[in-house]
Amino acid sequence: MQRFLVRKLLVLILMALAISALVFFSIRLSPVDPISYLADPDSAISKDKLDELRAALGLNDPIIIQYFRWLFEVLRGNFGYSLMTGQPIANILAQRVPATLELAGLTFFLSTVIGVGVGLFSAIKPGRIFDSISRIVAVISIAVPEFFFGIILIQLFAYQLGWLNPGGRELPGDATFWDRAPNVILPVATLAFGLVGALIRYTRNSALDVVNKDYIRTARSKGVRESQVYIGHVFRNSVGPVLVILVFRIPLLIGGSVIVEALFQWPGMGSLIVSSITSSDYPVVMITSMFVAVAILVASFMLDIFKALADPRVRME
Amino acid sequence: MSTERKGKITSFVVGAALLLGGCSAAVNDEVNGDVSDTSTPEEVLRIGQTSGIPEVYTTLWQETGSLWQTLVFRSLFMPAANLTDVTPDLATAYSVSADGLSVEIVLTEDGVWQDGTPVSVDDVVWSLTTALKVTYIKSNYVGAFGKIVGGDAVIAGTETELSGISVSGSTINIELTQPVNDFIPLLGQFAIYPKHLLENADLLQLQNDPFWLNPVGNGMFKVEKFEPTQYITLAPSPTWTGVKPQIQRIEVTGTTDPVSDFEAGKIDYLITNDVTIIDGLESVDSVTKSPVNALFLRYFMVNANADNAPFDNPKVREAIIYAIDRATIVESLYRGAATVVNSGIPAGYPGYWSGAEDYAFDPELAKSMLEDEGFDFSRTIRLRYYYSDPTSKNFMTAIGQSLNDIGLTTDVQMFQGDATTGIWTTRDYDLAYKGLSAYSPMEWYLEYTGTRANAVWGDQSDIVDLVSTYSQSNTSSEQESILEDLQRLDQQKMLKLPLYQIGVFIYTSDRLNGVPASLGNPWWRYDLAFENWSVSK
Repeated sequence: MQRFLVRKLLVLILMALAISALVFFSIRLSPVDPISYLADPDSAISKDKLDELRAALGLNDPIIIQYFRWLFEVLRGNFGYSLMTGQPIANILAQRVPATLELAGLTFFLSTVIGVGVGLFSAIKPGRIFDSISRIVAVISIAVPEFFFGIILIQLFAYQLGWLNPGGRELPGDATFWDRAPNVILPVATLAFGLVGALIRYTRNSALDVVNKDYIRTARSKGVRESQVYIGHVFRNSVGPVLVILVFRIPLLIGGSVIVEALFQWPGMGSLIVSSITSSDYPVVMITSMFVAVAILVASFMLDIFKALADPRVRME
Repeated sequence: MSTERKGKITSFVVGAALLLGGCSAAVNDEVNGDVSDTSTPEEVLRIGQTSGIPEVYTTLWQETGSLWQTLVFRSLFMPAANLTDVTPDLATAYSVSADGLSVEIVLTEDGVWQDGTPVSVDDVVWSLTTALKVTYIKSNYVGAFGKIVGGDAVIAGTETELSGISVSGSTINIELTQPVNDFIPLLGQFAIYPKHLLENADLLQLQNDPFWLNPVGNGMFKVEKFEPTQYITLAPSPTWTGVKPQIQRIEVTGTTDPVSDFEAGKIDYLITNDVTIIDGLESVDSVTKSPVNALFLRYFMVNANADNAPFDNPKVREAIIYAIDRATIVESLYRGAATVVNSGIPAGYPGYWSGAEDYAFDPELAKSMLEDEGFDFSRTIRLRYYYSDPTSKNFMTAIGQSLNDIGLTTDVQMFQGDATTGIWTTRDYDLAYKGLSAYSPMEWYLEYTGTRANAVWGDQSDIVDLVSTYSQSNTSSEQESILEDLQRLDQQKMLKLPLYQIGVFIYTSDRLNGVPASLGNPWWRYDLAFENWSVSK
């Protein structure tokens, strides 16, 4: 097991380095000059001043030197500064990451509980009303664009009923976490609704597959209680494929949902990534890209560990 | 691993995520200070911004300023709604010599920064000097302050101080190399910054200094809390010595649906030129719509350099504008919220030339002009733009179609990369759709001056000379005559194809009282008599 983990870890590190180089050099191919980008086309900025700033930021150095300088600083924990705002990227992430984790964490929890729970129950009673309704809900969840659902929620709960705010993670007067907690309800509901459909279907299909296996019939014939059959045997054996979806959903959520963030003015990683790409804020683009890439690599690593723990045959391979 | 243990691990991860979110709130509270709202709802003005809340508190030197900026930072003078007439603000008195080369300003002794430090002549001198050293600043300021004796040397970096400024007590004397007729009005726009808090800032990136996370101003209001991308709250400044405001709190938030926000009573004030929003607000009874006098022009810049034949031919440029049915396109897209213009000076502005050609839509004339000039109709005309809103995209599509209708081939695209480089340096276009939110009609002609303009249009010394003469003129009749001459030259050269002026509107809820009946350009500073504003229940 130890050798397995070390091998996987080394692969993770090598892949992270390769991705860092890919991210850095591909972003530098962008035609946008971040220094000129800040200059409104309607205004007359001195070209000399722009050139001076470009030199001061090291943007005129050979690109390979820029890469290694950046990589060295990142490994030392210095993420650099945003070209657009001048803020330390660490500070920017300190604002954005918690907002994303809030949204991602609650969405993951809610969609998992509902998706897996409904999917399992549908598989337990296939063909019944609950199963039919859940399958319809799943189709709607997959088919309806999340922004459309979000708009409906905003109109209903924020404007018609006035129960919640239409947007923003934090509003004037929100002094504590519990003051702004209601602001997360609508964006989480919007995101979770979009994710729950696929989970219901996967869980249902996976559980139905297992329900018809011989060992389930054997367990029943041995007199095992029905609840124990489902929890101890059906759930444990059907969760494998669902686990893959769940684990890889985490980095996608962490990368941020740009549409939901724009709709609800949520200051998450998604909107940060988009705005930094648009303005060619290289340092921020590189750090956020690495953040998402590392999240995916770690998720994959975790999945390998879970599978290895669950199935010794994986470790032997 | 047992099910129970797996469940515990899962619970721990989810709980940690929630805790992290809660801790960030606690950290933010520590950094920004807990804000307790003691204002009653009727004392709070809520401003909506469709552009959202920025990542940093945008400096006024770079963008002249929204309400939440101009209420925090004062200038030497307070302009009237026409942006030309001024009354003293931080200055108690001023005088300009008869030849326009000397300006004397007496600074008030009542000015106080919100950290308790008095506003001093050092702040004024430092601000004027620093304006010539920073990277990002409005060109108007550089153009005007660069005419202070020693200004060229400071801009070039060979001197650090303006030799043309001297101080005696609370009097500031400014010597100019030539008269600048809008020097005083521009000083009414130019925000004075605190030297003691910014003198050690990196001037190449002044806009990114940590000062702007919690700016210290000297105006009627202070920034109570600036939450990047989320909201800004302002509260009456305790150091303000003028008439106290009736409004006790200003909350600025982003809005993605201002129509619903007004209907629900969530915002009281909004500035917009978005046709969709304007249409939507027509059905909201609880708002007042106030058109504002703002020079917000859209036009085509023509890449008329000699290396871009045949667009170096003025007849070709003129033919293009005849091919475009501007009236129909503007009306169908803007539905009354924009008006066609034929020069950089719209009708109704001082200096407007009533004899200007109106370039009425005439596709046959356009086609015959192009044929007469030997235009190659197989040549693809490169149309570029940088505005990403749907109305602008639809407009460019319509323009492309108009030109296609007379047999021209077009390639319509957004600029690849930043527009500033695309327009002035790369110049991979024939016609670039551009905008200008102008402080004065002269800004249209200021665009022809400067070295980067030569790359696009070649040497335009006749226009440049007139612009220089205008800036030194002090009589309105002479200024209007010069503007008329400039419009004639504009129409002869057709280096910029005028399209339309976008209407700008301010919407206020019926809770808001005391707003002046006539409002000026909301993106420039002027006397709003904000002490008279109040919000009723």
